[in-house]
Amino acid sequence: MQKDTPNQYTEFTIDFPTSPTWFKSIRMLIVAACTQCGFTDRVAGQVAMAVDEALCNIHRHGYQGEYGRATLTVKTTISPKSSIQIQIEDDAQQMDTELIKSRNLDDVRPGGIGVHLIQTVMDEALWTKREHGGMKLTMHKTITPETNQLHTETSTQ
Amino acid sequence: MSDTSLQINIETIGETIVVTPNGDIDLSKSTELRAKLQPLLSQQPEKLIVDLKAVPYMDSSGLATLIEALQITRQQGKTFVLCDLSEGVQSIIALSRLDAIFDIVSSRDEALAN
Repeated sequence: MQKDTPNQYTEFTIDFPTSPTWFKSIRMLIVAACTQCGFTDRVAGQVAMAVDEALCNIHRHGYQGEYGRATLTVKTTISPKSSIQIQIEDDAQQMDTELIKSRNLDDVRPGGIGVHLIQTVMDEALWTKREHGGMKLTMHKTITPETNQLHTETSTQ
Repeated sequence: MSDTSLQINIETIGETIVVTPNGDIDLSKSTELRAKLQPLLSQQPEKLIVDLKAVPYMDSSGLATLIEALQITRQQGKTFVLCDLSEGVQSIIALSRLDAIFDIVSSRDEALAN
């Protein structure tokens, strides 16, 4: 992919089945968008992981493993700061947004850490109910001089 | 799209079993790893090593599979070791605060030796 020139604003939308076989392609797309706006490979990978976890939750909980679709909208900016804004909309069963939260990680057991990962990696993650059914997740992350270093340090704690 | 099977190599060295998956372990693949690990865990080897050098990416479903295996081996009084973690796998384990829970070493040789 050709590297964008500074100050460029990028936006794309993709509509796809929420089948796990699609998720690797979506991760690769997110990594490309992140690195193009200045994120390191490591942070780009973490943002892709956050998107992946969100899609897994839509597939497992929203559509309960059945066929469904999601619409992913990605906006990136380079100036004045490098940032990525991601929106995922679905037509799945609506969830009580009060119940979408990280669990206590001191309780070591399989499952239930996807929301924690999303909230840890992204600057903000907001789940809302769509007016005509389904859910919308809006996330964003902005690069600061410390951002790329932050998660590197996190991984060594 | 990604729809190929997860390649998993299994090697028995004395009382130790080394499991080496090759490829991303995400929601579409974690059930394959779980299906491979279950009969191995039933054998109750003294040590079960999962070599993750060829796993560039793992999601929370992959982590859940490893946590299950860890809990089973602990119940059995056996040893469960992860080795040679890629940067992507290190990242999710650290972000999940599981780096202090798993026994993690840098290489397969170290895992076999300890």
